[in-house]
Amino acid sequence: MKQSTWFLIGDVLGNILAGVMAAGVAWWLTDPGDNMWLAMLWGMTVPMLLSMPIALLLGRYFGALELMLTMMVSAMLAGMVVAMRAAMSDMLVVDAVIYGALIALVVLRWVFSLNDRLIAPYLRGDHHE
Amino acid sequence: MNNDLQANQRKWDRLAPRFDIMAGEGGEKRWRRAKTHLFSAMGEGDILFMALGTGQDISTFPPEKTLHAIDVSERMLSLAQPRVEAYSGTIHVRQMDIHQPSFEPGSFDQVFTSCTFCSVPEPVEGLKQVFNLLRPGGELLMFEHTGSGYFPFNFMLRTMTFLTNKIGPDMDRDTVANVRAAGFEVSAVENVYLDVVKIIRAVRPRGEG
Repeated sequence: MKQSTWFLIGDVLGNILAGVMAAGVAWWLTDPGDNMWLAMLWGMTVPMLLSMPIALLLGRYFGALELMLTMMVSAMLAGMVVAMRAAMSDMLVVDAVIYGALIALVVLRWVFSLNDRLIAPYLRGDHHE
Repeated sequence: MNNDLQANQRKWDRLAPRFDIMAGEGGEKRWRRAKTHLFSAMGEGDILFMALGTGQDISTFPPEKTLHAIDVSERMLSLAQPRVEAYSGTIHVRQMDIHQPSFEPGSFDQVFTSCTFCSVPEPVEGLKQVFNLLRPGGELLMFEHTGSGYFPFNFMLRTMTFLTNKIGPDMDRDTVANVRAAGFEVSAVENVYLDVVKIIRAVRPRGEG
């Protein structure tokens, strides 16, 4: 397997895990009618901190720093969106999970395109080791 | 300061047995291409490699070089020993804190670092010591992770530092600015991952010292 494929698997797996975890935690912490801004704050910070140890564990195989940065962003955004949505009206956990997974994939796509713009040209593209 | 240095040494001694588990495989494979590219600049002059750690970087060194390598942690260096012995060149290993170097000033033509100045307690002071160890015109070549100029990564890295600096490195340092503050001329900065992991090339100006 190409190394870039292996790392792509890690990035997608890690971020979906972070997004789904964040959405689940935010959904569990929030009830309809809760203060939306407070829910948003918890929804952002708790999942973001929880994603760090998960990223460290996966990072052993896929690279901890890269995973931690993207997973924290995915967790923060997914947690924020689900917490706000759940504070405003009733929400099924399955909807929260779908939100989490979709947000994680959008975050990952954005990070990939930003990274591709920023890195040195000789590091772009595919390679074998 | 001495207490800080001892605390830093203890921190890395404690981390040493777990270092390869935490930082091995994944991270090293992701960064291997960039590190191999950076270390291929090792010349024929006197070379110092800072923060050898458990020697994970040795496999990315060009073959048959002779260099000096230091690390603050005695335990890291003892774990590095098999990799040092397996290297096709010669690596003279010494336990040393860059804040208190025991090399003569102007001893080296090139100094290489690899994820070093995220952990040096006084980065600008440490870089000034590196400046003194280099001959005028000597090169500082660094592979470092730093803070970011992009939101939300800058926020994330600052948040992470509250936790990570208790057990290991800072995640939010402005190492390029620190290199300049120590008196170096920065000749190139290449990003390896976002603007967080980067290669920094700097020179001790010839007019100095």
